Amino acid sequence: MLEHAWNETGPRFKAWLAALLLLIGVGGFCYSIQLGTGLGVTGMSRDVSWGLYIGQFTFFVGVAASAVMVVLPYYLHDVKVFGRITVVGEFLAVTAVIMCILFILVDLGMPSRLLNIMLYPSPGSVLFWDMVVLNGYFFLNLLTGWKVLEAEYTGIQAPDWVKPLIYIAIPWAFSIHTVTAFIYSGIPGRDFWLTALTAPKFLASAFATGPALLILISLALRRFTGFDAGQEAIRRLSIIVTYAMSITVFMIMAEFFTAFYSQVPSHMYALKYFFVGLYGGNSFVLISWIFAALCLLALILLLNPKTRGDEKWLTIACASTFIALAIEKGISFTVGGFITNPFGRVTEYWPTPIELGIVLGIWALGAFLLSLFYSLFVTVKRRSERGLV
Amino acid sequence: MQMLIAFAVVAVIAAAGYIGGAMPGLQFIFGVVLPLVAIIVFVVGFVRKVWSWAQTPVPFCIATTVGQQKSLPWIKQDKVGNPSDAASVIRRMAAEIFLFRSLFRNVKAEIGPNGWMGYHFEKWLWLFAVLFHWSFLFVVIRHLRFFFVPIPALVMGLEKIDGFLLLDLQPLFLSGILLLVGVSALHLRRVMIPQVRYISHGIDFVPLFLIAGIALTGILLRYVWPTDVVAVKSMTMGWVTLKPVLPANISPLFFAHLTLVSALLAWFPFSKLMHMGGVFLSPTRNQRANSREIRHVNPWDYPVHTHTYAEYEDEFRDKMKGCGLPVDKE
Repeated sequence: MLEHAWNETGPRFKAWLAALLLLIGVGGFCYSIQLGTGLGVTGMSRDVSWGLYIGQFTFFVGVAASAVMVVLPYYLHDVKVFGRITVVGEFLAVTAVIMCILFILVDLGMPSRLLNIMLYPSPGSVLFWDMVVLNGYFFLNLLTGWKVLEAEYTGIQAPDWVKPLIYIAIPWAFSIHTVTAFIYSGIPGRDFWLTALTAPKFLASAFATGPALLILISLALRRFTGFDAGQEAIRRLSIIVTYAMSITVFMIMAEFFTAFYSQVPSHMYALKYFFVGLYGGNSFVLISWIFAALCLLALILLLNPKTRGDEKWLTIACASTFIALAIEKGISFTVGGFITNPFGRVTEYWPTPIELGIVLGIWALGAFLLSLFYSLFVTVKRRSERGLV
Repeated sequence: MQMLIAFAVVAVIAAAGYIGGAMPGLQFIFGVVLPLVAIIVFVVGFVRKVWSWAQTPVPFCIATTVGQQKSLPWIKQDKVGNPSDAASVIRRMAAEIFLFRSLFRNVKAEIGPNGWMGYHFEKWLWLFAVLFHWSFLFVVIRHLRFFFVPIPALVMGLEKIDGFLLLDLQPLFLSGILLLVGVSALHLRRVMIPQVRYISHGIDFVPLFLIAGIALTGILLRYVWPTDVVAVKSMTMGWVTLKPVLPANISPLFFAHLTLVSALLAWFPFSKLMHMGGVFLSPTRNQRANSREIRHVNPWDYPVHTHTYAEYEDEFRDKMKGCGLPVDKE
């Protein structure tokens, strides 16, 4: 079955894979520099010890968790239209988890000591549990996605033990992002993160990001491969994005209210730093306003049923949602807690080219894996629809 | 039962090595004589076997094919599955030797609850075979460090990659672990799938136990009960330079490891493990599938006396005409 990811593809697809391989090579080269010199080649410092890598990790945990937004309606609420794309969601989750693990790996100063997390487990640490739930989620999705696709390929029902695993994967999806949020909100010294809203906000923004990405992927699949997820599936996904995005923005606004109405200094620092700069530190002002503008644009386009129903506008809305939240969760939220330290001082951070190169390489690797997964998926679908099972 | 005998054979070999290594009087036999004899048997046996295969005539075009043959220009040929030129044959061989392509194609027929039959991709044999063979290659290359001064850069580089992960600040060589995992999984597969167990003889289990034993003693020697590696190297260099030395403080466990390896080497040319050399020489893989493009005449064809219909008619034309039978030529 695996060979179908490759055998029936055209030259354009192969060129795309080659381009991605080149980018992966760039990432690998940058990583070899980091491995030789150490994390000093990144923009991170004593004060800002979590940077772009951890931000990206957080963001992609969200993407991984969001697979549940197609799996849950299909299996628990019998929303038939998602039946065609549950596997798309599961493979997205698998790829996202692989990217997460790679982001953690590149963030380790001594990656060769990786095994210590299992040799000397510390169940008191949220990070340990994050490792456990992420790996569990990876295998759950790989297994269920594979078995469901294989059932379609052979024309024989998937074995009985697959269903329970799918049901287990649903709460598991919530757990991975909750545990990731607890990594932040479990640190009492960092006021920006020390709020009970962190985990709900993570989930809400993940459920906006993931379905937005799924819509973009579905449109791309239809354009390049002829696989149609269906109008109704896209319409329903767009409603999910609308609700989730509204809730996300609402929660962010609520943070502003608490900080500024009550004038809590330690809560105001980071927010001030982002939007107007603080003590001369203003690296994030520009992208913070881009984030705000994209959020506004996405909300306007999503809340208006006319634009939401129009594929062109929907594409723009989904891209805005994805980019906005990639900025917020992919970097700002993470570094915000460190840049403004508990003493109300600012230590600037900005990723270096090498750091960006490594991140680019991991994105390319994700796109590479995803392309192969979807190539396999589309071919199997095509065969089963032609009756070639 | 046959499996238990195979296990007992391997256990006896290991025990012999252990005991031999523990007794100073026998150390020379197990540390010098046996390995050298094993290497000689291996090299000579291997060469003889390959030579005998190379001598065997292959008169027919018997390439096995799994794809569209070269045909009309608008029909797409499957170049790897059905190679018709040398470059495609090389690609096919490379895919076979490095990636085990024919194992990858393994499918399993299955009848579902609805009574339909389907074929699913049975990947475990391929996966564990790849894991096992590549790990074994890595392990063998790493062991070259015992036979070279200075140690080749290739070996050092491989060690660095293989031992990237640290176990208590000691490099953990993944290939060794994966070798044991791979061989155990292949063994389990043999035992657990009824059809595969049915076609397994006792002798099929011997290499599995032998290699598992080698991997296990190797892992124990490295991580649990280390021996004096410097002494081992002086011994191995003794073999290479043909000036045998027998250092004092080498543990009996090392002799068990060494004896198992010697047994594997000595038995290799006479066993199914010769697929290592055989894969290169299998006519069904290394021939061009051009039996329709070119007429392959069997060089051994005996000059048979034939009598074709045309000749027959020439001979009996008059008689045939006489009794009114139709003829081709008037």
